[in-house]
Amino acid sequence: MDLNSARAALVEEARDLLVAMESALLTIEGVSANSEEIDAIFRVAHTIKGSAALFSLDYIVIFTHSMESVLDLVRSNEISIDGEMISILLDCKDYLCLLINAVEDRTENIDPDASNRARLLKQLNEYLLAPNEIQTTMDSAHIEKEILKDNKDTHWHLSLRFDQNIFVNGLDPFDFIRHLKTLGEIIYIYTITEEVPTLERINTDLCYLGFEIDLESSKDKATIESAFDFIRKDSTIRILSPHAKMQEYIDLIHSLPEPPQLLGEILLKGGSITPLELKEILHIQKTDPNRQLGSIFVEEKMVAAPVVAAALQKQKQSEDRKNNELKFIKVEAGKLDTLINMIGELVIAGAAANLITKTSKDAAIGQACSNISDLVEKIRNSALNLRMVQIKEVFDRFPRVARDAANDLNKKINLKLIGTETELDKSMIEKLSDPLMHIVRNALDHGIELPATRIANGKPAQGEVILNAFHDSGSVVIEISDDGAGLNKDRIIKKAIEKKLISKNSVLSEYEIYQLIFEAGFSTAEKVTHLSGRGVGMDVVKRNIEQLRGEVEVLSEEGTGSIFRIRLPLTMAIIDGFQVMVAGATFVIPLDLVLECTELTPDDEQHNFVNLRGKVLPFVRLRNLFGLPNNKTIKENIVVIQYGQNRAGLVVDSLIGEFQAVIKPLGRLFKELKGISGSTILGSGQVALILDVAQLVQFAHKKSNYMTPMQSINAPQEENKGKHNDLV
Amino acid sequence: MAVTHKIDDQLCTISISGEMSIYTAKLTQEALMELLQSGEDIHLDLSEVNEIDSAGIQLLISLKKYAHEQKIALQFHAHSQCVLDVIDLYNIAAELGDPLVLTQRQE
Repeated sequence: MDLNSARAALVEEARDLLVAMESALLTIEGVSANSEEIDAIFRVAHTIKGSAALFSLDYIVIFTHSMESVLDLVRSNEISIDGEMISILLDCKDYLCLLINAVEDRTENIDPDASNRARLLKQLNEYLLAPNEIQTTMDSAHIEKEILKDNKDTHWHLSLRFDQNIFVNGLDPFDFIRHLKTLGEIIYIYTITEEVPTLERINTDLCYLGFEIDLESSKDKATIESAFDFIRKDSTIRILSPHAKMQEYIDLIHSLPEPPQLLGEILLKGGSITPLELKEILHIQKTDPNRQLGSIFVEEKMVAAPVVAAALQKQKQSEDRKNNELKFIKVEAGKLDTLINMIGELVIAGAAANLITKTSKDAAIGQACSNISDLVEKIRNSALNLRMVQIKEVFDRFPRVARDAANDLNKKINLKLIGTETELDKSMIEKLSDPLMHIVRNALDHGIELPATRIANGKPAQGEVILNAFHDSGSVVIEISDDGAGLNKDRIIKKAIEKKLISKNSVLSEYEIYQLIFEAGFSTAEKVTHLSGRGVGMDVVKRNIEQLRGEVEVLSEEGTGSIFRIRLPLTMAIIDGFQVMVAGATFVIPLDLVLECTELTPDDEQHNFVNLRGKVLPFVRLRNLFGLPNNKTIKENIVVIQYGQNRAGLVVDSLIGEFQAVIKPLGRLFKELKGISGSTILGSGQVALILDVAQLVQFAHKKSNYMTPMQSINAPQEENKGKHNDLV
Repeated sequence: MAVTHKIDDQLCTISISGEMSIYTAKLTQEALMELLQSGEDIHLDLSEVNEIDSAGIQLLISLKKYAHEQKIALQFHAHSQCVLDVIDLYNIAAELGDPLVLTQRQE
């Protein structure tokens, strides 16, 4: 393999592992230490060390070695994992991230944070020294040895069948057996000589010897296994754990939680086999697919039969779910973009073909074309789905943020993640991460009060921050809610006046007051902390989200908490559109946001709103809005659109119908243009503008508010924008 | 490595001296094969072996097997310390079935 790509693979693998390690650590902290999580963390340190050693990345190897040693003690229950150790390990994870970044930048020989490294190593070493001190207090080495012997856990059985070419490679089985002696005491050794041919037939260059060894050692399996690292590739090495523990393995397998797993993985977690063994077994299975995984394990004597039986049973239970197991292929993002661009072109070309077909009288062509259109639509949907990523990717970094913030600020915070499987366009996920981080930090820092204050206000000491994501009529909604202090309206107004954002006697609705916090340079925090409160932030948040064609709003009640709600369009590339005509120009409205269409009666024409089944619906005349020429002769229609909780009507000349619109962004020149979010190309080759529903709904409501000034000023402040518009 | 022999009253005494290792195994095998054709009882003197590795010990096992198959009476004698160490480490004294002088194992 090319060395550079191997390095890239190492970096990528290490990053994935570190993410897994962080979540395992946080799980342990949240609940209690279970062996599965500790094993997972240990494996991270072990695997990174192993990969780094291949590239002689000494900084990483030495550091992970210390981590591994500490975790090994935890695994063998010699020391227990506590909050302090979790903090240290989290810091270790952060430092390892720096080291991995350095590898990527090819600066791996420079320590990215030497003082931090020294501190962490010192802390790790303190754990390593502790148990030794206890051992030395046990003055008799003899007693210690007796304890070792009584403990059946230390009895290992090793089966060694060396590669025949081991001599030629300059190695000797002696060396391995001698090395084993340094790991423990060899209590029995049986040399298998059956394979040695008689003198006239022997090839003196080949090794025919095999060994069955019983070893007393307190080391773990991976350490013993590492004695054979050099020869693992071609030799058959089996290390069988003590028989006394078999029942424990079986119990463990039965007690494992539900998720579908391969037999091998079950055994792996049960500790009966190591990852290397599993790899080898999978290789055997690949070359001889007729053999069952379980039978290979038994035949190759890697696990005892009862363990396999238990694992097989478990595997059968979860077989159905295993079929649903997610399989992933890594694809370069650029390739996907190309595919989606091509499909965009295909959609446009298809629309052109449809147009021609409509003018032709041939029924067969019409049929064929409509089949193709169907398929194009399906392809479009699956292609867009390819870009969809679960929001989990973003959400998963917040437990750590919340934990660190809680520690820094001496607060008690419980972070809940809901709807992590909600899917969102990959490009949005990336751009969403920063704004979300800002909002969450704000909630942690300003929202949640100190435990003492909370108790004084009759709330539980532990504050709660909830991240919730869900789909809602063609958009994705992300809510960040907290049960903290809520926003202080008076303070916001005072501050806004101070900063000259509003005039002293302006009257604002609650919604408008809260939107003030998104103004540039606005910050009410009395104390600036390193988490938030520097006054840059919320305006950036708003800008970032608007770049994604989304919007952000705040709902809050003083004393009980606030909700930040981000609403984003589902996709940014191709949408189902609804075509309408105004004065000969075509406009496209995202179909998901269209509720219904109705006729505009002459009575209603006088107002800026209609009575729609007893409810008031404000409307906007696109003709007036865009300054299109008047044409009074034809009947007008209203398209009812909904954005969030608000509805509005758009007055248009005629309705054309559904249409797949490939969104083409508008040039920079039109950046300030209100009411238009993009353009698309019709089948005829004409350009149609895509309407920005969010802005139009807002515009319609503002306009109707202006027209009816008596309402809402004294309306109850709790009413949100949507509700009081319904009252107009 | 040197393989010498003397025949005395139906008994062939073969002495191997020096190193018995992967490097000399092939030569030793050839030399022994030649000597074993005589059909006499054989004593193999190992007192002069000053270095032996797994390939060497494997050759001794192979030699035993051959003698057993050919019904040749073959005994190893006067094992040097390094040979004893390996026999001890590999626990193959019973397998070889020769009288051994038990020695204090050198750690």
